[in-house]
Amino acid sequence: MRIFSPHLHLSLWISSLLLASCSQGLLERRQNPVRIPDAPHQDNSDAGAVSDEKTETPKDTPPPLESPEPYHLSYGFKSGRQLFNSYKNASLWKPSPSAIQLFNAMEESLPIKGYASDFDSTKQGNIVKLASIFCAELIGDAAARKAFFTTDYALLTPTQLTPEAKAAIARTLMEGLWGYETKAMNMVEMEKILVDLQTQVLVGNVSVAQAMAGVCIAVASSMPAVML
Amino acid sequence: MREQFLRLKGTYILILLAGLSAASAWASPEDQCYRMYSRLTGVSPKIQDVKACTDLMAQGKVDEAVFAMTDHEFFYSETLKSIFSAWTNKDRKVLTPLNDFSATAIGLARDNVDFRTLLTSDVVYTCEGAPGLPAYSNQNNNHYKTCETNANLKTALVAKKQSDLNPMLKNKTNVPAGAFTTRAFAESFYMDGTNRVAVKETLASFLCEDIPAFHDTAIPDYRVRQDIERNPGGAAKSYVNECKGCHAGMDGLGGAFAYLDFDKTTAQLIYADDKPQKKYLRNSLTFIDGYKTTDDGWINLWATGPNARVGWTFAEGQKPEGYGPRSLGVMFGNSDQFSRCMAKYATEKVCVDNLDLKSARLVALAKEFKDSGYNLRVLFAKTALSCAGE
Repeated sequence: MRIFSPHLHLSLWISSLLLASCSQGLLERRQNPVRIPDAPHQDNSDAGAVSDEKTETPKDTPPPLESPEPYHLSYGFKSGRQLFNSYKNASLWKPSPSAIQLFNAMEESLPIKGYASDFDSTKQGNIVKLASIFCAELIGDAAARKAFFTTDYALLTPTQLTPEAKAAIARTLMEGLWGYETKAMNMVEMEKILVDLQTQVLVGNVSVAQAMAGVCIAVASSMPAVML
Repeated sequence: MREQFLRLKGTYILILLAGLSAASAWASPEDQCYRMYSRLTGVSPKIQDVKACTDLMAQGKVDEAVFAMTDHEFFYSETLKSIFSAWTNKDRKVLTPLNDFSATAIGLARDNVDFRTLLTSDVVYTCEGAPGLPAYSNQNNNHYKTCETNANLKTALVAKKQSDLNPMLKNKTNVPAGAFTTRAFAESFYMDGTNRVAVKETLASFLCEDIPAFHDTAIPDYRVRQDIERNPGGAAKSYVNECKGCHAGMDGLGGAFAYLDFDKTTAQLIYADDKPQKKYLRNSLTFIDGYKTTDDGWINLWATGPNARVGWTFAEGQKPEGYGPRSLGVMFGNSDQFSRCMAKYATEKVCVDNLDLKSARLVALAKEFKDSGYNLRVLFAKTALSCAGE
């Protein structure tokens, strides 16, 4: 079954916008980090004794781990491999040989270290490609799709795609791919995408399965923006 | 219209991040479990994973809850491997196939073995049970490449003796020496050159500082080898003020690798303990009065002076010198900075923090690492806890 059509470009565009906006926000955070004041350096030179030339200095007394020193809360992006792993971990997706080949071929042009500086528009584009093949294979494979969504929404007719069904699709994807912490945060945003996709479904441009794939791509390609 | 939408979306995301930030300062047990799990494994937890964690936390078993996360397949195959892979090549590339060096580091971590033994032990981890797995070979990396592709690193790695797999290392006094006598280390750092890169990369990987950080022109230069020009370009000052500052210490340590090489023809590690490799005596006429390597003796001339900051630790009466890579590995592993360096890797990976080696947080985590018997999983678990939110 061919899942994608040119009409889904809209959702890809939205995904890119979401990513671009997120990465800009994170970039700003990374450039203005909250710094933790370091403790004054204490020399350890007693440890490296050379016979008579031993130099005595006070030993370090490390503070306990529970010390009140504030931690520096940072955000990171998922690396390309973490994304790939996340897709597999969240679902019963077994990447096809062509998906593995695509991933191997472009891994170097996906985020590698998870820093904002390691994240540019080429990488964003490749993340959408990776998310696209994941979503196509997840929703195209009946067993994996049923296991992930529990209810087989892809078999619904356009008129059966009720607001409740749409919300369930989006929630399942977000909880599965983004995890617990972000489950409620982006529902408002996601609803805009769902409304648009349902319009496409209702006018007959895309099937329900294609609409699901569009939502899936938006969620899956936004994973790097989620705090690790 | 499009610009307006973009602005709105951008504002929304910024508000969302601000919300995340504010929420993080008052993290619930669920928040903490989510964050620790996703940072340690690189994948989002399932609802039941979060519940298992919060249940343990509710019983006061916080350490147990976090330590369990370090037994996740992706903690080994992604989190740890991405750190260890960079140690195995000159370019410090993360995207490097699994090899005997990185597999051994992963195996030691998984088995809760004293991680210092990575630099000293007669151990190498090989793979078992993967479909289509080629036999281990001293002459290629096919075994590990296939292992990474076809096996789960959490379960497939098995400890073996290097001396059983590589006859050259059998019944020797100063080797095997963990990573130093792996094929991957040899291919990257003994091939060609003068083996100085082996010192450079050891410092970078296990003390988290490159050669320039150790620059000290005050130490004696009697170990600087013959191939180093003492009057480069007619400027003796240049040698005294620049070259000597690194070479005096580096060449002293580099003696440890004098019997080691990598044969490009047979593609394998070479160890010959009857005389130093030819590379150690190359260009000997450059400065004939320089140090002539005769064995694999090494000395740490950075043990005193400003580089004592490393926190070298020796037994009572022991001098900072020895023979071969194993004793060198013992010295590096026992240093305070080795532990702080491992804590630095953990905080970079798990907390997305780039801390100074002297920071109080790294000192505290390094102590936890030592107290645990240099257990890397404990270090990562403690690190995850340290930035899980309150």
